[in-house]
Amino acid sequence: MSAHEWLEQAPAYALGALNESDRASFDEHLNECEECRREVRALRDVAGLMALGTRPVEPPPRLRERILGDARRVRPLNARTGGAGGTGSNTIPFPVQPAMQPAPIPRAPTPITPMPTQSRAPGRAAPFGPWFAAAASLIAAAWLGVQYTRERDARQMMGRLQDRLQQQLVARDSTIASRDSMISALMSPNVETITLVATGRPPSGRMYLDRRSGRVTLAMFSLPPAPAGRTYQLWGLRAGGGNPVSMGTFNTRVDGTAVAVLPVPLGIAFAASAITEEPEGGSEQPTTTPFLVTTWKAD
Amino acid sequence: MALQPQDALAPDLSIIARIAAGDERALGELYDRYGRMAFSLAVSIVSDPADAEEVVADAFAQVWRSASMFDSDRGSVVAWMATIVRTRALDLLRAQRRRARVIERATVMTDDGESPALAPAPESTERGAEQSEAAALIRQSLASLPAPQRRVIELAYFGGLSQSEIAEQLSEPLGTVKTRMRAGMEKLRNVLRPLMEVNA
Repeated sequence: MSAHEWLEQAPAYALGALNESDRASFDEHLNECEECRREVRALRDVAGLMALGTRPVEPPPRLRERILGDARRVRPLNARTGGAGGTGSNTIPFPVQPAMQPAPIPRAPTPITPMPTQSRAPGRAAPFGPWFAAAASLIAAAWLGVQYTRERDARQMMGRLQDRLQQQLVARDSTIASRDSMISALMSPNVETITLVATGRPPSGRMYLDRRSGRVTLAMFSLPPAPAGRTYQLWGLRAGGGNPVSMGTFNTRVDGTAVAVLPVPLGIAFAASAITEEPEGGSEQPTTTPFLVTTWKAD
Repeated sequence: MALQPQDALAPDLSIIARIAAGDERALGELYDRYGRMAFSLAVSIVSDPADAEEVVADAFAQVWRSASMFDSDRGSVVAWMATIVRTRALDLLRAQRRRARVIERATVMTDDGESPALAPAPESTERGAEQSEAAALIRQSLASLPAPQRRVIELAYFGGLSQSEIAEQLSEPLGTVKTRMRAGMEKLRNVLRPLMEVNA
């Protein structure tokens, strides 16, 4: 699917209107396409605003209390002990509900029992010692809890980062492999270069034809992307006449350019090529007027 | 124009960060900001106010549990909230096997071409003048779409239908549905751009 076709799916994706398999493919594509991610973000925001435009209905006042009451019983994922301005940093107020909270959450550090009075220095009346010790223990325990949570958060973040990097590496590998293949096609000593030009006006293109290995690398310029549900198709015209032979389909990007490596059927002497616009998936035979009809004569 | 009357106090993102840190008061602030939007959206999908209450309670519980997973690269806070509420509401409908009735309702337009979900309230009960103004602009923008474009968008968003299901429902070719959806969303995006920039 061309970049243009992916972009066309973005509105349906943002509205949740793609079917299961299309959505899964689009999800995969989003991992490697910044342009589509930006598009989906903007369109999701549009959908979010639609929610603000629904007929206003006042919720019952008890709903707020219910939501906050529910929250008191469950801790958020990755919540750091003592959230900013939260319900207090000296307690962890939300008991964990295993059914709703699969990740293990460390419990509040057990408060240390104050030192028994017998341990005070004899004859010393100052009551601060035990309290100070208890407070220090609590602080130490809380600090340990914070460290533990931070470490766990950091590990989870590293895990997510690693996954994302792995996905980027796979995508990068695939891009490099495809470029390697293209470079080797262009560097072959058997390559002929053919220029495609309409008389004095765009679009234009260039073909790097390797008859021996049976492939042609096509570079197009100033050709607007085919409309939705349509594609471009390259045809080979036999030297002795007869029906055109399909060499495959391609589409241009939004900027009007495309680079495609297409197969040239072996054993047929082609004398020329042409391009047509066809329904998605291509046609058996051309159904529209061909353009960039070019004799295969090397530059 | 501001979508959030409390913009000056705290941007959405900082509220989400506080929720992720376990700050219960931040959850209250988020509810004060978007509770009514969430409830209105839930009612527009499930119809029954008692069901809508369940949906919104579930949605806020999800926000509370998973605020740390919020990724601002994927959309605004309001879009995230709306997605959670919508998904919960559609799940409830599917569980109750009431989806067909709701789709039928969503397909029926009022006399002036307005869909029930987006029709203005008979009597405004809105509190914040700014929110009211923003909501009015959004409704106006939706109303300005050609009816066929608005219909496919509403069937997708409020009815939870895929493009193929919409095509079947309206007896229209799939390609037509896709084109209308794209064109409608593009128009909405253009007219709502000022609000999106404020909300970013």
